[in-house]
Formats: sequence, C-alpha cells, structure tokens
Amino acid sequence: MERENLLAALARAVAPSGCETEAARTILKSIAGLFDEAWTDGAGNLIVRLSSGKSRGKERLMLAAHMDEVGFMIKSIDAEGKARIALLGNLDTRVLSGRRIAMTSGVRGVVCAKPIHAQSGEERSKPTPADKLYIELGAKDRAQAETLVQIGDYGTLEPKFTPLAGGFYAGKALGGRSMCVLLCELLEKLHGMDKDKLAADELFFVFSAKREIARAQFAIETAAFTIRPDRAVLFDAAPAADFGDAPETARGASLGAGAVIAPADAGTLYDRALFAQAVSMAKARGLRYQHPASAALPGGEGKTVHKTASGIRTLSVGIPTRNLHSGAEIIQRSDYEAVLSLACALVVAP
Amino acid sequence: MQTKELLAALCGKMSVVGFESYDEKALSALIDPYLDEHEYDAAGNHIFIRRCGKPEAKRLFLDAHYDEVGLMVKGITKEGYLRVCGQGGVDARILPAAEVVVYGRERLPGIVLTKPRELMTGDESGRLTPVTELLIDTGLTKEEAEKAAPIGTPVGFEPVYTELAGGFFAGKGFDNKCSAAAVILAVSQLEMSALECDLYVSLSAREEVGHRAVSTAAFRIRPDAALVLDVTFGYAPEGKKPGDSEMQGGPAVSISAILDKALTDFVVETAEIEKIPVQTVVEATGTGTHADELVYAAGGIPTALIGIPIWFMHTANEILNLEDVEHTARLIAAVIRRRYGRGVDGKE
Repeated sequence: MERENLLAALARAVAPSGCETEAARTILKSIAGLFDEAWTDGAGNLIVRLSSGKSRGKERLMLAAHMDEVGFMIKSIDAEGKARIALLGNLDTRVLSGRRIAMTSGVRGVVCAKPIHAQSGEERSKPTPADKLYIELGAKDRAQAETLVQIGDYGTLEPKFTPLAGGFYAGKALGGRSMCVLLCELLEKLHGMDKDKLAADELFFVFSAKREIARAQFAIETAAFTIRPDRAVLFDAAPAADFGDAPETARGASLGAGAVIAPADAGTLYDRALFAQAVSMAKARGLRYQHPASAALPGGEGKTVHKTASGIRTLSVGIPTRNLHSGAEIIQRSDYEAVLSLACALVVAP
Repeated sequence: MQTKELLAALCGKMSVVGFESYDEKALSALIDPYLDEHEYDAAGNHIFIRRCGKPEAKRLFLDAHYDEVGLMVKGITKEGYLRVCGQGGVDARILPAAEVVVYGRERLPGIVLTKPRELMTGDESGRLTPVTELLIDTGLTKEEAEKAAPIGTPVGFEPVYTELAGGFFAGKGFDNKCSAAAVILAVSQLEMSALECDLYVSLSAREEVGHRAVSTAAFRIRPDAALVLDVTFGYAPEGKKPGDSEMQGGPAVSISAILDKALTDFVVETAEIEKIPVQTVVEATGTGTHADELVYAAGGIPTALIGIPIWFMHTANEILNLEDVEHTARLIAAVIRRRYGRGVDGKE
C-alpha cells in the first residue's frame, strides 16, 4: 500500500461522529494541490471537486467514504471523578472494558469496570453491561475531573495502527478510514493523468461525516443534494466474521477474497447497471471480488444517497473488515488493492 | 531511575506464569546494579541477594511474586488462528478485540477476534466468549504459525503504559511487578554497611496458579523474617467490597491472624514514626498471598504483608498511583533500617 503512512495517521486520528476535524485536516493535508476546489458543507462533509476542464454535458460522478468513526461522548461526571459515556454509533460494548481511550483534546483514560474479585460467577460469563463501565482519568473528584474533560467532549478507543504478518493491518477505524485513503490515492493517480480520460466531467470526492450515528438519515445527504451527481459510488467497510464456526450465511465478507460488490443491502437495492458494470470491470481486469452470502448486510449511506433529490444511481463497494467497530479492526492489503483497482476502472473512461 | 521508568521497564517484561525466565538477561541488566548476586532456582524463583558483609548476618526475605496472568497457545486452527488457554485468572471480559503479544520465535502482534454485532445470531451478544474459545489472528497461515508460535507459546498483554492525571499510571503487569519495583527502590535507598542483615529479594514464580514456588526459596534460604509485598484491591465505584484499600492511601498493611503480629505491629509503628502514609486492611483468617505460605514454610517464618492498592487487577490496564509505590518503598526501607540497623533503636 503506497499510502500506508496516511492509513496509520488516519487510524490514529481521534475523530468520532460529530467531531471529524482531525481526520478532515489529515486528509486535506495529504491531497494538497491535487484538486480544483474543496469545502466543508453545513453537515460536516468534506467535499473535494476535480474537474476535467471541459463541460461535456456536465456529467458528475460522486465518490464517497466516511471519515468519522464510532466513539463516545462524556455524558456525566460523578462525585468520585469518574466519567460516564454515551456511545456514538455501533461501538461494540463487549470490547470496551479495560481499553485505553483518547479524547480529542489528547487526554487519556482507561475504561474500567467491576474488577474480577468482585464479579459473581454469572457476571464472569457475560460481557460487562455498558451502564457499568466508567472512564478512569486519574481525577480524585468531580472538580478535578472537570479540568480534564467536560460534559459533551468527544473521544474514541486508543489511537492504534499495527501491521500484522501476511499483509494484514490492525487498528482503530481501519475499515472506514482505509476507504478515505483510497480516495486520496485515487486523487493522486488522477493528478498526473490526462483529464480527458476521466469518466465524468466533474468528479466529487466526499469524505462524509456522522455516518456512524445515522439512524433514518445519513449526513451525506446534504453533499449528494448539493452535488446532484449522475452516479455515486460509496466505499465503506464490509463486516467480516470469516472465522470460527459461524454458518455460511452469517460470516459476512471474507478477507483476502477481494472487493465486496453488493447488489443490495438492508437499506438499498443498488443500481443494476452500475452493479453489472462493476462486476464486468472486475472480471475483465482479473480483480478479486465477492458477494457475501449474508442475506442482509447492514445498510450504509446508499440508503440515503440513492433517493436524494430526484434520485441518484448508486453503487456500494466494500473492503472486508474483521472486528468491525472494536478499535482493533483488521483489513488485508490485497483487498484494498482490489478495491482501488476497481475504483480506478470506474473513474477512467474505457 | 524514576519510579515510572522502573515500573514500565520491570512490569513491561513478559513473565506470564510458567515463563518467569523468559527475559532473564534483561531482568538481570535491570536489577543487578542494585543487588550483589542473582540466582534462578529450580522452581522458577529469581533470587537477588544484597549482603551487609558481616558473618552470620540475619537473613530477611523480601518476596514479590514476579509472574503475571496471561495466555498460552494450545492449538492452531486450519486458518492459522491461535487457540489459547488462560495462565492464571485473566479477566476474560477485557479480551474481545484486545491486542496481545505472541512471544514465539519472534514477538508477533495478535488481535483477539470478535464477531461484529451486525453478524451475530440468536443471543450471541449477551454471551462472553470463554478464553478457551477465543481465536487470535496474527496474519500467519497454519504452517507459518506452527513454526512461529508452536503450542506452548506464551501470549501476553502489550507493554503499553499510560500516564493519567494525578500520578495515576495504567498498564499491564502491576500485579505484582509494581511490588518488585518498590522493593528495588527500597534496596537502592539502603546503606548496607549500616545494617546487620543480608537481604534476599525473591521475585517469586507461579503465584497466580496457586502459590506453587515460593516455599522452595524459603526452604533453601531459611530467613529470620519475611516481608511479603503484593498488590491489593483499591476501592472503586463498581464492585466496592468491605476491606478494599484506598488508592493514594499509602501501603496497605494486612492485619491477619495468620501473620506474625509482632512484625505486623512493627511495620505499622515504623510508618507512624517515619510519618509515612499507611493504611491497614483486615484479612482475618488468610491473605490469599505468598504470606500464607511463608508463615508455615521451612519451620515457620515470622511474616508481615504490605500491599500496594491497584485498580482493575488482572487486566491489560491495571492502574496504580505512583505515590503509593514510592511510599511503599520508603516503608520497606524504614522497616529494614529500624529492625536491622546498627545501634538503632528498636534493633533486635
């Protein structure tokens, strides 16, 4: 991976939903000089425009990856100086106990829970319930704790990036952030290229905000509304449980099996023509790709994008990710390369 | 060396139960400057000796168990994932998605796999995966893993230390190597020529699986008295228990019928005389530490127990306060000076 340093920097950025500043800054710094225009919209999406310099009917293509990550917000501080948290997104509460955390301010803490000597036999066989967890900052009381964190401050699990053997990477928020790296790398590749070769007159790279806290509606809607692209391709993590004795239908994506090209997920039936185009491009180039057997992969931003304004033809491409939302997500370099090759094929005219 | 640096260097060593000699050279390099001799005995105890130079000197046994809870590879799946068993009572609730270090042919990072909620079925989300069902992903294939991390390879928590506010310090292995650090700090403060005793510092083995090794060291050394140092449970909001010690309350001296009353009283009095913060905790009939073994070892050894309060024992992020470690070191040194000092009041 050419941009391994950027992946490491983004894994270490503390930028949960609603407070994506550090990720946005890191992304912008890495793509300086590679685009025509960049701005942050009212919902927090970072939008980067690259023009072909011509206006052949002004066809617009939007490529998106979300730059936020699951995390938490300080909800209360008690008299003993312990902070309690509200989760931002689907952060897996089973992994919280005992983990180091970082606030966007740089303050560090540890998620503590009932220690082993006080746990009953039944408690020892269950994950710690979220309401029994608290953050230890080292403060002796509320007043001292309030000098370290304030109600409403944002934090995430410990910033972390660890290359494993066999071309795997482990780290915080790697699934989603690797797709941000992919968009940056794509911009770099397009920079030296003849702009006539672009598959659209204008390309918009959207690093979206608040994806992880979305319920009915995703924040990317405002970017899609402003850009009104003819086509949108969304890059995101695809959950993988490709280990142990999980049944075939509950294993999700598999690492090493290439780009996840989804015909549909729980929220979206993707555009048939774009889906067919992506599959034929992958085949023609000998790229590894997969359609996980799970009946309903969780719905992503496509759910909102495909019905924004008068409707947008949308495709979703994923990178298989183990330990999703755990602070120690695992991806494989070969899958990243497969998604990148597919993305290149999609943005360059045949 | 600063307390923090000593703690990180000592507690950061891999000493998963049964593997206490893994990093012996580095341990020697760290401790030898403070002590005169180092022996590694047949039961796995590291004994460091500092002599006063006088013949027939008394022998004080300073015990701090050196082993730590961890995991051990017990199988490799066809995909190359490691299966493990617990070595000592690891808190399994902190293991999902934990980063660990596999101490095989080389040090390898590994990640405990956990299923994403999105792909869970039935009541999986309410169930904690038992240690023996966990899978550790190192990225290696089965063939590679069999070479790099064969069955029997120890697996430990990452040696990462985090400074919190107020002198609190978080990381792995404080149980019980923070006590070893306190002993070393104490010994480094002592002028041996002013003492009439030899110090036997035992960084003892295999405490976490049932106090298996320490009595052999005592049997060989035949000490006149023993001070046992071990961590104790700091009072925390979730799971408060009567008898928990206070963080930043100073060393916690155990009052127990199984311990030597005179020596225990001597320790508490010394703290009062020297104005060292001290607290007492009652463990009426037994302490669950090496002290319970030493009182009946080698014909009986007068033994007292001093605890360092910590939070969140047996996890990758145990938490202590640096002051408590320093006060414990001062107390150990003061007890030794007052009990064995030449011509000092209170000397036997």
